[in-house]
Amino acid sequence: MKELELLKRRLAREIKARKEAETILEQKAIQLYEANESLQKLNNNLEFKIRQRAKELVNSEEKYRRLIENMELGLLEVDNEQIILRAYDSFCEMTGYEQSELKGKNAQEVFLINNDDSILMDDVQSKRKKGQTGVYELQIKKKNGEPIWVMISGCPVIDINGKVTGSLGIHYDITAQKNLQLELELSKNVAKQAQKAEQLFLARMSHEIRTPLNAIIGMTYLLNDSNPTTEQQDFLSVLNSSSAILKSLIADILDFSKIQAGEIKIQESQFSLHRLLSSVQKSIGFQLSGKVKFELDLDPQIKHLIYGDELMLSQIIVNLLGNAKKFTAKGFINVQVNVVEETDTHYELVFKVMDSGIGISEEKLDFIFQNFKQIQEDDENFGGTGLGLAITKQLVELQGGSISVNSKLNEGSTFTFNLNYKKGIRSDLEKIKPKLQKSKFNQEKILVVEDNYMNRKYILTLLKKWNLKFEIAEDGIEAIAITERQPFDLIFMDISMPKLNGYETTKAIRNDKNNINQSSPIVALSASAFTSIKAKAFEFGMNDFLCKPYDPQSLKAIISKYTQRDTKDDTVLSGLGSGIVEPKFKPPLNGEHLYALYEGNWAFAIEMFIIFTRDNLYTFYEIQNFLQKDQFEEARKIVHKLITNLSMVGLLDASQMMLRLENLILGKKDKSDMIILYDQIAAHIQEAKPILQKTIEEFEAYFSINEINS
Amino acid sequence: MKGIVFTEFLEMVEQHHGYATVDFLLENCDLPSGGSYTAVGTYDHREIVQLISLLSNKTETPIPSLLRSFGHHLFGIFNVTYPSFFKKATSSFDFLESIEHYIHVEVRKLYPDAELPTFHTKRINSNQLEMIYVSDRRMSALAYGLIEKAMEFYKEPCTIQEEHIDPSGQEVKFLITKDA
Ligand code: HEM
Repeated sequence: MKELELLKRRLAREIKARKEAETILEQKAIQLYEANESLQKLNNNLEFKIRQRAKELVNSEEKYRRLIENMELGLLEVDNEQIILRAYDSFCEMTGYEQSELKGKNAQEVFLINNDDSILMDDVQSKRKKGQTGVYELQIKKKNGEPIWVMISGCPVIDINGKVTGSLGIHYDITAQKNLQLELELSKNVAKQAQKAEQLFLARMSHEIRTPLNAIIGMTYLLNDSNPTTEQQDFLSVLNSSSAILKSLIADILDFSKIQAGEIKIQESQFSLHRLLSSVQKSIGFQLSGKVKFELDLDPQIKHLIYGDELMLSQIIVNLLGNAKKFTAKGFINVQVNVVEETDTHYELVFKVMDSGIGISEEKLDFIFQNFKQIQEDDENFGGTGLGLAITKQLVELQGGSISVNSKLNEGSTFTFNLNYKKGIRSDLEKIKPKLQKSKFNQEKILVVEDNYMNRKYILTLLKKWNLKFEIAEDGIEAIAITERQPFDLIFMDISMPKLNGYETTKAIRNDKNNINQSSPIVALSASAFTSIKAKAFEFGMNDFLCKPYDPQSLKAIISKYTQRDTKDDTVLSGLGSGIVEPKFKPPLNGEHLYALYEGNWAFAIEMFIIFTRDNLYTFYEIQNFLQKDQFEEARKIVHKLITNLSMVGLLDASQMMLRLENLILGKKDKSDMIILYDQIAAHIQEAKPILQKTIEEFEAYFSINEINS
Repeated sequence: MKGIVFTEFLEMVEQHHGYATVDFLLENCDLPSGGSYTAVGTYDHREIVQLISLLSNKTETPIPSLLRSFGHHLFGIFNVTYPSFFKKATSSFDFLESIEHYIHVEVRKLYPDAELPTFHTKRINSNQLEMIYVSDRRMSALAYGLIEKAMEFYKEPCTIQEEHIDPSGQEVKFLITKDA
């Protein structure tokens, strides 16, 4: 009975449980059905979207094809077997075929000239099949058989299922470039061969001449011993000195051709600088007349022998001394060697050869280191090849140094070069004379008076890089105020400034007994190098003249001329911002000019470009307004500023044209001429603007890439 | 709590003590659901607590050991109903670690209303696994039973130490050490 009850209850429970389960399942089934419905909808929607996207893709593909066709790029579509599916109009134009002639043909068979190229094509083809793109150059033939060079950018054509069905080639006709390139290579080879032939010739010739020449010299000596008459003695002495000149001339030529051919190599050994210099001193001492005093000053800080090419160093010093001797009739010739920097392992030395000779005029200073340029070309008294200084410069540079010259007509010259030597063993005993006490490092202070922001930025960047102390005045009034308060060792003064110009400012300083800078050196800065302007600057009491835009080297030269600081040889000053010099970056416009101006520091250059495009460029458009309103002086002021600024961003042509415009205005010429010239410059600038912008962008791209790489 | 827990619990009771005991439990508990459980339903978890307490009284067996045997029973059921969960793991520790971030995750997808514990596992070394049970339902003893069977399933004999971090039993640490 009890069991029965139990079973009944169990049954009831199970029936109830089943019902409940069924309701739950029923509910779930409905939910499932609904979920399935919405999935279906979602799926349809997705399919629709995919179809739409595919259509859009086809459309945009068409659009790009048309675009490419308009750009004189020929499009050719082939299948995986190289069979032409479609040749676009521009491609037909490029090759001289009709569309119908090409369709269905094998592209390789129609176009290839060289059989070897089919290997290249197979390679290209297999790449496309893997879905890879690529760019390559190929010579193909036109319908008339004429060969053309094309650059091809190929990409695979992929169908909706992701399968590669063929490839699409974009063809660009590069025949002209290719021919130019070939010609260039050819002429480069010719030039190289010519250079080689020249060297060989020089070497042979000098050798051929030397042999008989030695005979002449020998004979002259012998004749000297054969009791010649006084007249004969005179002849012999001319013969003697002439052959000596001829001999050194040939030696020079030989040296030079060897250096040019890269045949001279540095031979390192350990040597005593002291001994080298004293032997030089002795040999030169014999040759000097009593009127010239020779002095040697070796830095006592040098306590080691040094490793280097002894012969090369002595040749450099002898060359420079020979030069000094030639041009110094009385006074002194000095050789100074100083340590600029000493590390545990190295000495950075600066050598100076100074004389009180006739000096070198400013115009000639620029090219005395060039081949075959003699300082006194017009003066018969100073014979020689004119190769001596060029050789000297090359010898210095071969050893990783640099050389420069500083000179004043009728006062003397100073040749300065620096070389870095590894230390050898200690040799404390070597001491010549104690070094002269020089003024303390970094004491000099410079004032820059300049109203143009860009020009100011340029000079200040350089001074800062060189660790020089300086103050700034933005106009004449400010300059006078500051010169009353603190002493300066050197003042750079822009000539054309608002309020008070450079002449007036200088005059005010010079005429004021109480101004502590009454006799400080003042260097004029001006965009025009006319002698009249220079003369006027000197008339107003300025000491020197620097033409804008000046490069770092010229600025250095001036600074070292007027301050104690030997800026030229100072390692701190050499190399402008080392580390960011990017010799490989090439701006599209006047690269060499810009390189000199910024010494390859493009980051600095680009900064100036940005300042120019941001702050200076728009002022150009104000010129027209002033011209039209006959406000010529206002117009001229802007023109004058832009002469320098344009040149500083490499727009040399525009700068030159500006200079002409300034002259038109100064000469009170016809206004219509000015407007015509203005329009020409405007067109020029319009063209240059995108180039400047591109340069900035390219550099920024270049710089960021290199930053990532490093 | 999912119905399968109830049906399997009663299944176990019937196996061990006969249907009379099942009937006794259902008749003498105050069950809002009426006691007609189905595996696909969901019920208040307090009902299982009532059922276990009464069974404990009747059989004079402590609740934890009942839960532990229920764990043994349940493992066998899981093994049959969800074989795929066992295939993924190749060792006992891998399997135990997979409960939190795989098995129970899948369970929650199947039954969004499931009430699951949280496990924090830490491999002390290749032979030792620490497993911390955290749940309001305080059924760590069930976990104990499940772990025991899991180790047995992978044929890796072991010693399990149990430590109540929280006196109420909401947080319990198991230290499982494989026998050398
Ligand atoms: C294939 C293996 C497993 C499956 C399919 C599974 C599934 C489930 C399901 C469906 C629940 C009930 C949830 C609810 O009623 O709301 C649950 C609860 C639980 N599971 Fe698992 N589980 C598995 C393995 C394990 C293992 C090995 C352990 C032991 C460490 C474990 C410990 C627990 C515990 C202790 C609970 C009770 C709920 C709580 O304490 O909060 N499970 N599990």
